[in-house]
Amino acid sequence: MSILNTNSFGMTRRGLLAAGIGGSIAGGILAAPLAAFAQAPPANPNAPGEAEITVDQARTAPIPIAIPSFGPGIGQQMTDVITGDLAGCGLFRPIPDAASANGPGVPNFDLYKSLGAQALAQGTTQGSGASVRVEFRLWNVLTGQQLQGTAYTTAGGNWRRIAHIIADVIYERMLGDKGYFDTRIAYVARSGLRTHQTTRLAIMDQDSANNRYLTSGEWLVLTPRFHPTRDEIAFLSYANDRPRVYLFDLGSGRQQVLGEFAGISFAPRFSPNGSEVVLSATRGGGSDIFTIGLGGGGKRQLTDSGAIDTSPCYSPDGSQIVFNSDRGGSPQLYVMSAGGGGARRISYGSGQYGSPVWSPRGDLIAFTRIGAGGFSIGVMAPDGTGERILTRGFTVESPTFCPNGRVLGYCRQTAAGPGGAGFSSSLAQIDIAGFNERVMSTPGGASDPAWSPLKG
Amino acid sequence: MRSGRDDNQGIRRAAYVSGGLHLLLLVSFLLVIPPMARPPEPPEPTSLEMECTGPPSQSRRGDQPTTKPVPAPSAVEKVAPVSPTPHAEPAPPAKVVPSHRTQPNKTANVAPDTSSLLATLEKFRADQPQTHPPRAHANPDQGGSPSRAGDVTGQLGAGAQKAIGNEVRRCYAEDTEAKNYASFTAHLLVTVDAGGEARLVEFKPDTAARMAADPGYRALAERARDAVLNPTCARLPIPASLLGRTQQLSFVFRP
Repeated sequence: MSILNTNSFGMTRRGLLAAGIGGSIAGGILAAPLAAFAQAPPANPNAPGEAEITVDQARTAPIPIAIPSFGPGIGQQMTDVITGDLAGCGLFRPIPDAASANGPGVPNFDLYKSLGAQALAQGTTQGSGASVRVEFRLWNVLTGQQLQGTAYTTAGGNWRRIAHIIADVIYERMLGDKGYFDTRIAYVARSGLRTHQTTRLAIMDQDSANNRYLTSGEWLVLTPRFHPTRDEIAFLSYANDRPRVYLFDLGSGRQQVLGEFAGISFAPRFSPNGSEVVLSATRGGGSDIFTIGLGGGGKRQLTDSGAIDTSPCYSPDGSQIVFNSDRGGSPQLYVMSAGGGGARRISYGSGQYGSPVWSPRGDLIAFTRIGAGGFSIGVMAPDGTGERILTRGFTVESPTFCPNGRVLGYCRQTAAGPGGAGFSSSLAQIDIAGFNERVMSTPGGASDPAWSPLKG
Repeated sequence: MRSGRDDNQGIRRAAYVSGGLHLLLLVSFLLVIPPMARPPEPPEPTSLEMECTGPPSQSRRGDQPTTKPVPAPSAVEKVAPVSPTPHAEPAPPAKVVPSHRTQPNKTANVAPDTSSLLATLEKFRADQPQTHPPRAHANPDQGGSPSRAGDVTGQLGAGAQKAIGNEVRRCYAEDTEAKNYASFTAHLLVTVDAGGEARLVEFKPDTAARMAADPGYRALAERARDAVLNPTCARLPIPASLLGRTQQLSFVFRP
């Protein structure tokens, strides 16, 4: 399969994933005895409710997976990226120094069983430079079944992206949910003294590779947000000392102001289908929430409470908006219909709540909470129940979900001493279960992370 | 007009002549045909001697071990192929002496026509279509399909069931933050060998149907299966009275 240059990265995800290599044939041969054995209809299909041995209280443990080297050169580099992706998500435990995959034939499953592996990612690379062919197979070591077989052919420069896509395939097949490794993170790069920081819009892969800066740092920039389908970012810029929401085209680098407001516009967020942007705009002593159609559509006001209504975010189905408002006396979270109206408060814990983000799964809303003990980041159900705090810190804020809703990225800042000494601002991520908290590497200071959707 | 006495005499005379001719023919046949020669006795079969040089574990029962050392294979001398010279005289073609074992005239169709063979088989199959379902049944008591073994879960006491569940639980790990994990339930039918080791896991129909429709559920159910097949936990504490033959056990996995 050849990869057509269809975007700035020269590949389309759909095209790559369509490149099956007849893995089912090989799998049918190799796993035939077990498969035929397993697929025989049970003679005594006990209906649920008859005598059964109950197994419950599963442990939360990562899946042990063997990832032998895909080969020298690019093959080894790809192996490292795949291993890093899977280990970094916390749901897999790559087995170090896994033995060679014994060539293209049937793997030695007994060997991998003895290593404690339950899955095996086996791959080979051929060619270099203009054309690289990567063959990849995923096996269940315990049953000997081939779970996936895919081949990719692309330019050698795309090896890193192919590695991320393979890691996504492994994630999806083993966990039943789409992976998020072939994604990017936009953020605000910070440099300089605490009191006079230079901010630049930046973008990098989710594993911190391929970092690049999008703006020069002449003006303060904040809150980048990815378009759900296009290579565009909405963000707040203080260009010409007038804070407004801009749209940045990643392909051309072109910027344009989004909507015209008498006051300041800020806190943009795209609708799930990408046709609108919901944002806040100051009006009088407070701020209201508006939507702006992107295809020449008009502006529509959704709130008019006289309070500060801000940080709006759509539900994944686009039917509701969660936002932050002090209409009740202190900043709290509210949910209203996407057309405005019917706002109901959902946060009732002590302290103040802000920067709500609706999970792509739809089952959680992440937030920042400011209490007596400092900042914390947590999640709750859309009806406000089941609140739990995931992490705390001097300042932890700006949560953003990865595309499958499993991981939260956020900004973590430390306290500044006299003259700003000791201050740091960095990006971090944590599983929504509250484990696997780790720093996301950036070249310098960073804040305001925004996770992209899966690359198109 | 002839009388009846004349007719009897004629018949008797004809019988005599005919009998004489047959007797003469028989005598001459016995005198002219030579006696049939007996075929030569087949030669005594030459004795064939074999040496078993495999490891002792591979020698069959009744094999006599040999003390004769096995000669090491001679080193193969690798000769570099001669580079072709552009003006070398072409060697005359070797004279082909036809073998009495080979067909002197080449057949027109030298390549095996597998497609023709398959077509013939297909034709045979088409000519004899099976019009009724097979009536044979597996007989697990006589070593038939293991999947037909009986489910003995009901024969286990509560303590035995709990012990088996605890053994599998040691290897039961799930992504407990997976979507819909809180309502996850999977029913499995596990085939256990005579030694009490889980060998095969089948998903029961309702579980299999949900797996086909929901990748997230499938991932959870497959990890439940892997818990049973994990070498660390696959040897189940089955009561000794139930060991010695293939069994099946029903499992339900819950959060």
